[in-house]
Amino acid sequence: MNTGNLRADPPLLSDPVFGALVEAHYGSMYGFALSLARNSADAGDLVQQTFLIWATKGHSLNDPTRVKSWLFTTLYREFLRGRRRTARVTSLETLPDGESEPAAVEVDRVARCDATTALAALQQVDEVFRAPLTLFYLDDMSYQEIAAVLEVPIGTVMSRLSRGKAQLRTIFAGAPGPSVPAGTPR
Amino acid sequence: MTNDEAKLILGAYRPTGEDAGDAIFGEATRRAQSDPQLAAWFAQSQGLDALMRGKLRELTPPPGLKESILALARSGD
Repeated sequence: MNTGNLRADPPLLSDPVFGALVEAHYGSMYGFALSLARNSADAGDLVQQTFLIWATKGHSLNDPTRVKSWLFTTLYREFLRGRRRTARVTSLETLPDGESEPAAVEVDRVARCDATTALAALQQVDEVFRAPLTLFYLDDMSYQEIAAVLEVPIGTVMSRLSRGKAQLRTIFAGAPGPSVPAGTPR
Repeated sequence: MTNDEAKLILGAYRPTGEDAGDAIFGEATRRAQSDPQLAAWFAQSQGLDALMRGKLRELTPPPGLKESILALARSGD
């Protein structure tokens, strides 16, 4: 992502604007980080690290409409930087599609599961598909916004969303399922 | 456009309805309106998306995370 509009002003971390920025975004950023990192401690660290980077580099981004995208892109970059990209990640791109038709049983299982179980299912989706899927579900991002955050073409976003959803449906449909206990309201 | 192509595009259609005016979905949504099989698929897909969206949005950050971020930022100010 182009961050060329960043100004070199000193950070104003005690500024109420920074507090408002944290308040506005830390929850959805944590959800994204939790989906990626798959544990709460690493997710919290990713969110903190992202805001620390913002405090030193991004706080004076000229275009306020790009703030959210900048934060999510930075978080995603930090996640990728924090672990080696293995050959497995590349191979995920060539995985065959899963079952592509949503079935009533999957809808029923999702309807009956709680948030923790839904997250557990999402976390089983391969990372390359999980990242766009999480932004789609948790943050209501459009395909253009997801493309900007992940720095991939729009067509790639659509393909990954489609395949990610197919994997998710397969996970929910699978026997015995991703620990989807029936009728366990949160 | 085939139904498979329409499904690929419609998979990016947010269940909140925010994409109703986006031209990229135009042909696919029109096809869904005229093809009962595709319409059923789209309705079920949107239902599943809405359910997942709702479930995942119930998740909350751990207590103290916001305070930690603000404290960390203040320590570097």
